[in-house]
Amino acid sequence: MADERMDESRKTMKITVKTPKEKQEMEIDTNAHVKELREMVSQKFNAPVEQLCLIFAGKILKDEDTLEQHQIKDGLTVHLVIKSSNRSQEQAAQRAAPIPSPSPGGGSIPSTTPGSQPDVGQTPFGLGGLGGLAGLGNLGMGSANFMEMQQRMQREMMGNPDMMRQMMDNPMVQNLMSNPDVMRQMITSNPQMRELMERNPEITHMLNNPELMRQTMELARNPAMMQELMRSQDRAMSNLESLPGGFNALQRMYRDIQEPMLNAAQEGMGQNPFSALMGGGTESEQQGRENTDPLPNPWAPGSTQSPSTPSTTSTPATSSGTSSTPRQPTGMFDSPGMQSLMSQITQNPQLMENMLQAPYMQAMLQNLSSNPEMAQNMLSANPMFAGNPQLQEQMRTQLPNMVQQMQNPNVQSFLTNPRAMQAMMRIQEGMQELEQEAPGLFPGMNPLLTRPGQTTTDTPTTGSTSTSVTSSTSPSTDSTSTTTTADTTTSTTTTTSTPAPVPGQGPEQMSNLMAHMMSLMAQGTNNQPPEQRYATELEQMAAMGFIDREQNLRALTATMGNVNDAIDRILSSRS
Amino acid sequence: MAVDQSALLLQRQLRDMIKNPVPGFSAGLVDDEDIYKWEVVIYGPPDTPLEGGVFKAHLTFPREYPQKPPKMLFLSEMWHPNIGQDGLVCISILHEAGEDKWGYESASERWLPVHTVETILISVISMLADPNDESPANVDAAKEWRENRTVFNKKVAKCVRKSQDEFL
Repeated sequence: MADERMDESRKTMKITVKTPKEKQEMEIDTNAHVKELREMVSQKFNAPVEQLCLIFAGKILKDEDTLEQHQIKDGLTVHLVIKSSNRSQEQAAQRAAPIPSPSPGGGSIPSTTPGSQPDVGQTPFGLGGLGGLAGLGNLGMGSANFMEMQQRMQREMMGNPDMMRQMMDNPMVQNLMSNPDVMRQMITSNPQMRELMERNPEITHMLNNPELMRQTMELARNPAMMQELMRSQDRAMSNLESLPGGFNALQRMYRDIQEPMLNAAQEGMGQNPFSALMGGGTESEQQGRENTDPLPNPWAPGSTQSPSTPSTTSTPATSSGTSSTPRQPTGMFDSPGMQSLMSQITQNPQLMENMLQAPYMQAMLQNLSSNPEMAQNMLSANPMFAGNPQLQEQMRTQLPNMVQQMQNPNVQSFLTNPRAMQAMMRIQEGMQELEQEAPGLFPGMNPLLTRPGQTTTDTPTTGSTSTSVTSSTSPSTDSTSTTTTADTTTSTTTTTSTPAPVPGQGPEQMSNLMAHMMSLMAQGTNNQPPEQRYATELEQMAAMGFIDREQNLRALTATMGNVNDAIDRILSSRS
Repeated sequence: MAVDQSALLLQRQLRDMIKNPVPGFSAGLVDDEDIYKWEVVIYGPPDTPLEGGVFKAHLTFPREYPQKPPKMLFLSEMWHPNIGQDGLVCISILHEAGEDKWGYESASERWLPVHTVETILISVISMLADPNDESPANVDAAKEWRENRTVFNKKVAKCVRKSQDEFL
């Protein structure tokens, strides 16, 4: 230090920067401006520049002032107050002290109050809590930075569709985009993407599909579509979020289901024979235009199965006609019967619950899975399905999986939770809207459920038809069953001797994910009441003088445990 | 003579304070030429609703200091039973010993020449954290503090936020 003094006595000085909780020494040019000091402090205290308040001798230091002006000299102390922000949830969650705190990065009075829109990247419970959950890192999205970056990017692009369009319309960018190889290279050069691809082979497939890539880009070029897509997604999510524990589930779902599903769906589209059926050039017609087809509901089979089964057990009947060519891949979900069924379920959760808890239900499920034929009969007997061979076929291929899924206690617990069901409905609605508004995104959603080769489950049927093809269940042989199995999804009747359902990889994966999500949901809703979960937050709020515990709890529940938001909510509801 | 003494005293206090800052506040002069007008920034005491706030105030010393107490006026908006809505701090140690204007303060609680800027501010900070609702300067705030703490804290939180916005 003595040496330093000798050499640089004219140039630098040591000053102490002190917050109520810690202090640090730093060396700075004597002629420096406050701005430079602030930047230095920002680094040392690991807090954003704009949140720092430097105070010396009763004065708040302004950026444009020089240190000299304030007579800040070697050895003196500058006080620092760090304006709290709610961007740093991680630390906020760890801190038990009441807000707002001037400690670095902690605390939380929202100064730049974020919009009330749900923030997917936000982790009110702290990442620590989520870190333990398996599958979080599945998509390489575990890092908070990545999430935040994504969020920011999204928001920026949303806020400025023109910019997005301009960017997309830039000839260079277009050129780039139309060259799948370049795109692929770009994507694969991102380590996070690479990891993602390694974990999810579907994505790799996707990247190998230039048509799909182009479609995605097309979507990005249509700001209205993009916006709508995000909006409806947001809404669906916020609905789900308001469920206790829903947020956690949502977050996982976002990672574990939505992404792979989307990708897989798109991939399905690329390799799906229907895409050709939908009319040569439909794809290009669809570009930039909005679709009116409702979004297929990926959960519909799982939840509709149970109410339909008891009603049909009595009348076994003929086999189904299976020769009709599929015209609309979304047929199953278009049917009004299906829709009313769904709404019935949601409106009458009691029914669902009773049904699932009835002892014969278990037996029946067992029966169903070990005896696909019975299921087959039931299915074809159901008047609702009778008129719709496509639907029947789809149901049939799905059934064993569904049954399996239904037997999963997690799924059952989910199905008996009316609120969870409602949330699911809302998701579905959101997705339907999404599909309407952004057709390019989900065209292959349906094929995801019953993708040729990959997802079709081999189900013995009662009536044997002329085309008996054993479709391969290996996921790698997507294209092997080409010509004859081109329409496996809906028109081919497959005959195998396997009595037990052999789920393809797709549905299995899917059901695993669903089960995960549901167990999480069950945990969130059942195992931990909000009082317990938000105990720390409640304490904080009480310490701040919010004494109405009930109200605090409500606010916390609504804000996913974010104390700042909860307080804002309470305050704004009062005023 | 008295004038010189007060100026010397204040200057010494200022020097000390800049060399050895006291946690919780920062003090300096409004104008380097005028030793009688001080400007202070008080940080909201931790673990109170005021935590995180950065409150500006002025201390005005009389020439008779230390025989007579200074006045303290908050420039930042405050909501506190012992701070008038004009920002004036009403705290017993800042009340002159002579007359018992308020009728209930014992002499020992009032101004003593031993008080310095530091002791005054420490008292004020303690007052911020722990209001005395028996001698309120802001009756409404005192009433609210007593009867409806939630609303009181809400207003305090607003002040804290306002004070934070000021420095940006």
